Amino acid sequence: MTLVVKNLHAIVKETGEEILKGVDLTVPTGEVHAIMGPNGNGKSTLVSTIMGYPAYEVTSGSVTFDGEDVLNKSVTDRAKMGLFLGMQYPAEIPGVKNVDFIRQAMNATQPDDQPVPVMQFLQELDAAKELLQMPDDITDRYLNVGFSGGEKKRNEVLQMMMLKPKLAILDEIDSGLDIDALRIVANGINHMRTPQFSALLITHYERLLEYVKPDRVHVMVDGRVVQSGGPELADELEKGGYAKFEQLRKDGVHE
Amino acid sequence: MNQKLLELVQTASQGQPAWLQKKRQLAAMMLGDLPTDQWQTPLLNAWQATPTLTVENEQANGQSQDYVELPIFVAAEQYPELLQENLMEKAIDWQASQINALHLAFLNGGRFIYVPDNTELSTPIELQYSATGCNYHNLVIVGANSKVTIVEHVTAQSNQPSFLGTELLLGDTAQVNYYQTNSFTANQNWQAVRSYQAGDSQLNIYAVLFDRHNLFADFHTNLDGDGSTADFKMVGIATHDQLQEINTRIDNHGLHTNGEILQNGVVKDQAILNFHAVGKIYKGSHQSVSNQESRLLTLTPASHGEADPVLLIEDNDVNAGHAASIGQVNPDQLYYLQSRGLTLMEAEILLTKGFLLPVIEKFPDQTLRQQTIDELLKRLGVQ
Amino acid sequence: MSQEEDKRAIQKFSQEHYEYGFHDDIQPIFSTGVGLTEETVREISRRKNEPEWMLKIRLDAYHQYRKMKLPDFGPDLTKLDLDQLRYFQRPTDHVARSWSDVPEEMKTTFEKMGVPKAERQYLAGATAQYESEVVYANLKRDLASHGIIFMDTDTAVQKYPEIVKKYFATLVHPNDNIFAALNTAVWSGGTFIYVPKGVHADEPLQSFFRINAENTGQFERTLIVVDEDASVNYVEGCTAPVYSEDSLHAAVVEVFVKPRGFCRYTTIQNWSPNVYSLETKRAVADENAVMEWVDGNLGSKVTMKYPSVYLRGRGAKGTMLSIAFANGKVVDQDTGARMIHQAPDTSSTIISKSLCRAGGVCDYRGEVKMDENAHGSSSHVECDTIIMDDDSSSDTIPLNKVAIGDVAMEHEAKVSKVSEEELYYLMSRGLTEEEATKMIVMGFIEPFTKQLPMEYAVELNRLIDFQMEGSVG
Repeated sequence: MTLVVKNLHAIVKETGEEILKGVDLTVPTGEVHAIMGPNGNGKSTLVSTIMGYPAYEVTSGSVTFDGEDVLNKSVTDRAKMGLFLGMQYPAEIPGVKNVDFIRQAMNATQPDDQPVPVMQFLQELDAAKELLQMPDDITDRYLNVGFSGGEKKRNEVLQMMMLKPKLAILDEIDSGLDIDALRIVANGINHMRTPQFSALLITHYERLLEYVKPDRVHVMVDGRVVQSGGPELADELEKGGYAKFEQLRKDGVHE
Repeated sequence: MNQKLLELVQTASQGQPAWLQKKRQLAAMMLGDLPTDQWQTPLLNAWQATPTLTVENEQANGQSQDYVELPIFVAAEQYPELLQENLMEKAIDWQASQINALHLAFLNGGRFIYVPDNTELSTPIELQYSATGCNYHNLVIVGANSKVTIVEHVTAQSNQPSFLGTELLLGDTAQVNYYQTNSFTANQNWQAVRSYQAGDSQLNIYAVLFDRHNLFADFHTNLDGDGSTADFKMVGIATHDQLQEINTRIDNHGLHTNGEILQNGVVKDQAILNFHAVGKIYKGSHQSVSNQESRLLTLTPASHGEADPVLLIEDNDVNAGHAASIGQVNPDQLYYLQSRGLTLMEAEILLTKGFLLPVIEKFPDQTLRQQTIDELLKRLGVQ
Repeated sequence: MSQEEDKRAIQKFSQEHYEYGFHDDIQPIFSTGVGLTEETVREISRRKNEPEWMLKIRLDAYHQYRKMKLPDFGPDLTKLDLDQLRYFQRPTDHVARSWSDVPEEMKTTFEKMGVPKAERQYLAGATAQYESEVVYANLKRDLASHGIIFMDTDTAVQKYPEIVKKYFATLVHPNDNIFAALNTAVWSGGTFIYVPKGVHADEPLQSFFRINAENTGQFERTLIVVDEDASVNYVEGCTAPVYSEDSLHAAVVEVFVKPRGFCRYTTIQNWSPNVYSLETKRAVADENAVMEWVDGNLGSKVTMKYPSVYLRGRGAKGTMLSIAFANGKVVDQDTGARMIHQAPDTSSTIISKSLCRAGGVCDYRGEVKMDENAHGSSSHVECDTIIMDDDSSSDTIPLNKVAIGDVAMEHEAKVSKVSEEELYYLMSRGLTEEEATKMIVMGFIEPFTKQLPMEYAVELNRLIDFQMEGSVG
């Protein structure tokens, strides 16, 4: 399932400010891509726009997933298409149990609307919790309520593992995690890697990419993808920082 | 209608512009028909028993090129249109209650301040004067896109209950920082600060209620223009047998308006401090926000009060919340401080400061912040 | 009584009291039971065969009622015509409506909720009787063996006059408000529970078990006494919509919890939108006693209800957990709670969740008061409201008043619409907007539903589910 983003422009609805200034990006099936870049340059906006976050509005360009238009679908339908966005600041939903929600979400994204049998569901859930080394009671707690930053991120990965999306987009899943947690989360992501699975990871630091080796790395500056390369591009950035892109930003150059 | 009253007002307003004479007399005539309540009655009675109708004759101190500052009666002559339209009409409505009407009828003085459009003043305008009569009124008009800081410190000298009224009218995108710390002499007093705000204007009020006398305070703004915001921060202390009733209200009318109220008060001895905060979001005021926080710290078993935050919400595309608490100093904290060598009183003072400081620290002006902290210590009996 | 006997009773009455025997004038009042006079009050008492002391209470209350006015706050009650109500119901007065007259909406709700067919007829007012005798008989036997008294209040007046006399109208005085006065004058039906010292009623006592036509009505009077170290859980009402031909329900509930006793009183009401539900519910908790109100107001035209707990003994505790759902333009839910701290080391908690949509109004009116004796007491109030669309509105009017300094009182409230962030998050995981809204609403009221007996929680789930259908947009 290939994700194709073509010349995507998007603005913040409330202020009219343009954040995405012509993003071009392709993530072929079975590949893991990483997007890096300085803060405030549109990475989060890009993935939120792909998922349909109401605060942003697309002004031109297109996004297709395996040939099918994404932008004209509701948020719900994008999920049913097989897209999953692990958020940077997941919402807290009081009174709703984690396990009940995961079950309902799973059933919602099942092909041909067949609910997952209870035993199968519980077995899968236990296996996922164990892999992510999460405490047993995490699923009985209310959805993200009172979860620490790290717990919230792991809960996003737990949901990803249960919902089995075709394309998993993870927005700074590495922020707020210590080294051990990072390794565990990376394990969860790697566990999903099959020829039918694609992932788009927004990272701030390079460290996650040591554990989840990307097939391609893109750099986003000032609302555009300004450079793409292989995994070695990540090393380069780790060493040299984003300084050289400052100039590119000023010139408004992109690949 | 009280004939004697009318005659007093006629005499007092002699020589003033015709429109003002008429307005004051009308207020005196309509007095009996207007609403009143238990708080107003003692003041109304005191004023009518021994009316103080002297008018201050002083000159305004320092008028710069950038703005106008005049004694209110002088302004009535020099800017009749502006005053006629705005004096006790848009913000403190003279027809709203008996006390407002009598305040207008018995007007002793005050200031008129007018900041024209597009004026940014780097130094604060100081409304600092001594009020010998008991009904002083400040009318402040800030033009579109202007930025100004106003510091009001009026000392009411009269033994008669005083009513200090201040009206703040903000034009489009005007920004006003208003600090207030008035002091009184009489046993019972009234203070009203009311504002009317046009689109995208911003009003920040910092009120320091440290006076030792009984006070009824009324802070109110009308967020009429779209995008207007108001932020009220107040700190109060009540000691001995003092009674303070603090009423604060923000009305959200326009779209995207934002009203925040934060009030922290400390009560001691047998004093009473009551916080009433109201946030009303009218229908159509989409995407507006209203937040109130009222907190009372009681230092003695006999001190007490009320904290009633009210939300009246007519539109659903909003975010509103309020929090209120009444409580004592944390005994664990007291113990901890004492175990490090402080006396009980020193520990209490430290914790009281700790309660009010977070609010005071949000006052943007460094000098005023320091002044307030000094006032606080003095008031607590330390300096 | 047969029609013939009724006629004879009325004739006899009119002959005794009216010299000139103007039957024509008098008959309409008694046969239709509309309007309230002192005579009506006497007749009610007479028909119940009440002792003199109860008649006196009724009459004093009636005179009090005549002196009082409607409340000067809250919803508009001007359309409620107290003189047009039927104060005197007999079994033959209950006109059952035919099933075909029951509104489609109601039938669909029952269907969606899975309400058993037999219950549907009763709830819809299509039959006056509910066949629960068998269930009730077994329960009666079980309770009696523990000394727990559970019956309707009319019977209690006859069988346990000493207990009733000791407590009746001592907590809610007729002069409290006009509806309390009215109720005290014309009350009929209601629940009476007495739990002896040290006895714990393990299973919740449900009002359904003692319902029959005679005892449901507009002016139920409930009296619960939980003796020292005893405990009871009482549940009344149901989530399914109940059709009532009466437009006013002004019940009075008095609960007495003695030292170290425990009482939880759960009510769920979903009246049809013609009903004014104006109830006075009050409890008093003695030393170290605990009183819990769990209140669900799902439907009515106007509800005014402020259950209160007077924390009279040291260490007493009062809690109120309530939800109010104002669904529709005519609906005005004005609810809240009052916690009055009158002794040291008392504590109270109020958690109130309101939802309004389609033009409904839900207002919270609460009071927390701590008087000079309430040293060391604490109170915590949380009231949250979700206004689902822009036709609806909500006011939160709390009164927090303390008379001394060594206490702790906290209050928090939030008003907003259904959070867009939350909706987006849930939808991004595959839920439709409607499913996501339902989930958020169920999560919102979860603190309430988890305190309900299982069957009620399930019913409530289904009800909200159904009410939310087609509500999105």
